Amino acid sequence: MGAPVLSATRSSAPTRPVAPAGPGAPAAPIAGLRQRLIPVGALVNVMAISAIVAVAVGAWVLVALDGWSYYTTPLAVRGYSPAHRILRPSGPVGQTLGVAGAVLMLVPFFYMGYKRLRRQKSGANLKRLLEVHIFCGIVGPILITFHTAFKFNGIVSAAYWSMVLVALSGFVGRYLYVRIPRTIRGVELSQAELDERTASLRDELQWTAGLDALDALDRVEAAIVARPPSWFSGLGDRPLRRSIDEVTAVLEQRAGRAASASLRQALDERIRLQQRRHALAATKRLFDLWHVFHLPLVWVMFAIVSLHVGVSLYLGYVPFRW
Amino acid sequence: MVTGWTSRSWRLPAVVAGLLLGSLAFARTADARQLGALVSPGALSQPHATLEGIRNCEKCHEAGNRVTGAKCLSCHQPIADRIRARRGVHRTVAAGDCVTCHAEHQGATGELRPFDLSQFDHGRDAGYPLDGRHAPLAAKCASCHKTRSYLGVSTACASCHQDVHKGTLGATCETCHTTRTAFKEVRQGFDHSKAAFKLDGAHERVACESCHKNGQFKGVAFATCAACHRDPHTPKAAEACATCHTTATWRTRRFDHATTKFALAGKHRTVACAGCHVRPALQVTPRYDTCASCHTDPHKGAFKQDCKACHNEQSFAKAPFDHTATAFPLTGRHAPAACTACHTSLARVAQRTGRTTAPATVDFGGLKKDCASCHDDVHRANLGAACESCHTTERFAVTTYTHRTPTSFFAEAHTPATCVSCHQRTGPAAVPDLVRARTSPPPVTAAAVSTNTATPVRGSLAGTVFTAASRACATCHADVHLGQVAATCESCHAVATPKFGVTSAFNHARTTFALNGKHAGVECRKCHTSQAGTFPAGAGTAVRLTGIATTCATCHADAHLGQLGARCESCHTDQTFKLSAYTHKNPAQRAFFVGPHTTAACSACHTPATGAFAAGTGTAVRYAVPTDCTACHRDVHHGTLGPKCADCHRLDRRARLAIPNALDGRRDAR
Repeated sequence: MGAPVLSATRSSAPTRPVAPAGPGAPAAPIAGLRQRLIPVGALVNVMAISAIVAVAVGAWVLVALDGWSYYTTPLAVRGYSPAHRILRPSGPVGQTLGVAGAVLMLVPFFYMGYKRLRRQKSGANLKRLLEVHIFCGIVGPILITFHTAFKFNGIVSAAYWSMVLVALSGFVGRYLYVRIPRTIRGVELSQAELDERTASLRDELQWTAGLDALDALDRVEAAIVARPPSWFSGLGDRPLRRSIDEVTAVLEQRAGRAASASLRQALDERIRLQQRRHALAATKRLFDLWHVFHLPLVWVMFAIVSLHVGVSLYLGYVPFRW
Repeated sequence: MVTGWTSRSWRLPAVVAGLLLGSLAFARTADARQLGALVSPGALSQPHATLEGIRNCEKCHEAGNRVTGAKCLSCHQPIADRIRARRGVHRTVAAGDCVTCHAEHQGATGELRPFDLSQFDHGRDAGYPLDGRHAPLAAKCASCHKTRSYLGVSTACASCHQDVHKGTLGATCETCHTTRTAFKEVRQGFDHSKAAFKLDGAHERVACESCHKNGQFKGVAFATCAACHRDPHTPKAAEACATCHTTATWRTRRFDHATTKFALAGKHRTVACAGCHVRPALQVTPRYDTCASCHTDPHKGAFKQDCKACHNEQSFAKAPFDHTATAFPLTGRHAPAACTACHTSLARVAQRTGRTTAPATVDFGGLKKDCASCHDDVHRANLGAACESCHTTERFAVTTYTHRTPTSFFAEAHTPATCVSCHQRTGPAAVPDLVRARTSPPPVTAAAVSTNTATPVRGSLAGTVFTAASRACATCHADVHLGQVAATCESCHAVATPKFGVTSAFNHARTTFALNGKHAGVECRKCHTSQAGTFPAGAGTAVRLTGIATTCATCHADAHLGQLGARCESCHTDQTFKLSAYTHKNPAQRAFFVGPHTTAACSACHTPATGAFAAGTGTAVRYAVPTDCTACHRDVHHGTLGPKCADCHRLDRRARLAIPNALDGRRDAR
């Protein structure tokens, strides 16, 4: 499926207005489109923030509230630990953590609904929603974990383990997610948009490095397409990596020092896009299946948690009434 | 849009529905207990295990109200009672506050009752203090609390202890037993004074088992001592033990000896019974009418058994013997003397045996009354045996002695002398050896004046031999005149004279220089001065009594410095040194001593002058005076009429100048 795309791209290339190639020539028209694409390291920042928040909450509970000694106290006598009053699941801190965790877990749930409702509307900033989704999906389980006081009993433990699986699968989903080319707002690129993007990158490279310089690029891309579609980057393939480095060196030499940075960026994106387009069908199929795993567990989780919350409320374990 | 269960839109609801249906199916097949486990936050502890199950939640939990104490206490009724009564561990908790302390759903092994033994005070928290021997049980709850509940254990002793008395002593063990002592040690707990037989004296120290044999605590016979004690007396003393014995101690007899014919007094009270009563005590009655039945007579019958004359029951050795009844009453210093001081046979025995108590044999006879039988005669018999003439029993040392004869000798100057002034011990002081009277006079010392007529004794006279000393003066007195006087002392001195002064017996007229006139009143020492020099008895210093020249110049200085020669008596007498009258006798000057010259005072012509005199240069009244007029009279004519005053002036009896006739007319004309 990759080859026709390539040939199509190549065939369309001459139709583009050819600007005189010269070192240091500005690539302004193309840069605008590139800015609107989701960056390579997308969602890394929100995961770091989530990790910091999770560590902070963990330190607070384990150290400041003496949670470490409480959680390591044998269950039989834990009820008489000094921290039991506040850290037990129905205690001031324990229950608050549970409520907060549940609320955080509801946020991705609403994200799911919002995504389904607004699927066709490109105006929504899906990436921002996903960042919130990831934050809640990391911090929420941490809070819930402390809410359980590491005591996993009854059916509600099924909800907990479901949550754990959902959270872990979220990391897989995030990996697959970023392998599907999207705009910077998180909207998937259509095939035409993808073609246009790869073509414009080629143009940019051609503008910068000259026509004959693309021969090496074509060889690299041919090598990528020749390989079976991979969900991994493939950049770990050493011969391929070496040939990419060679191409980069040649193009940089041609483009000159001033344009080498943007040239390298364009080259990286072009190769990455080609690689992902090559695996795109497989990735999408896998992502689809991932949803089948990720989502039902969410439903199971919420169903049991509803029961858990219902029983708790029924028996009088109302938040802020300790 | 693809239809069918594989379509994407159906997939999710189908999976969810399947999971829920599976859960429901599990719920249908599971029993209530398993269902409960689904919603339970943890297994219940073992004691609450029967409350597991979904239908039991509300046995503890109240809808909308968590776990209420009322639900807990509806089962734990005894606890509810104690909370209400504010007793025990739960006395301070609120009725609904169970979960604060009791945590559930902590697993089957979950501890429902946190129990910090270090904080638990069984007395305070359970109302039954574990003290004394119970104290170690505070850490061994299960020793008494046999069931899971800590309640329901009675504080009755029998709930833990076996009644070894088999109910014969009732259930109030604490009457006898305490937790402070061993179970068998009941003395501290049991007050035997509440029993019919009260314990006192030695009975208090007897082990319980000694009387309560075989655990018999009731019905022990105690009416008679013989119930427990064996009667050692022969014949048996019947039941009158208390007549002699008390419970204080078996050895202490309480027998009142006064009820017998021999009341015990003094030292007899301290004698052990067996001292008199040889066993068997009650069988033999000792003779009590004579001392000798118990005491041996150390005097070997010398006093005919009349012991009471000297001894009494207070002290055998120190009998209050009245010596006045004897031939030798003890007076003065004799009174406090120890018996053995005189009765030396007693002393010798005591010395030999080292005993101060009465010896086996004591001889009080054979002593004489004379002093020498006890006292050594330090005077070696030279004063005779009549010691009492000087000594008294009040004080052995001689305090006063009055020489009776001759009276004249022991008078005045001799009275202040001490005995040893005349009577002196010779030889080493410590040895009372032969002492003679003084043979040489002691150094002349000033004797203290005493008004006592009796001679005070100074210093120890021990060893002094008072032989009759010679009354010759030289025996005691040294010759202060160094041989100048050949006559006896009595010629001038007399004892009766105060301060040994020279008496009227001495008459200076018998010497070569009778003292007349003014000389009679002159003190001796004015002429007889103390001089150092050679005297008949040798060189020395003495008042010179002889060999003094009788010339005036020996004593008197020549005021005339040799102008008038050595024959003082030609002008002076011993009646008065002053010259009362003098008549110029020189015939050559007879013409001069007429008229006024005869009545002029001596000093008118003889005036003191300083210059050269016959005896040397000095100041003296000059007696060689010229008779020319100008020697005395002033020339009023200033030499104009020449030196022949007599030409005009003459001396007549009217003591006026006789003016020549030439002047008469002039005087008349005027």
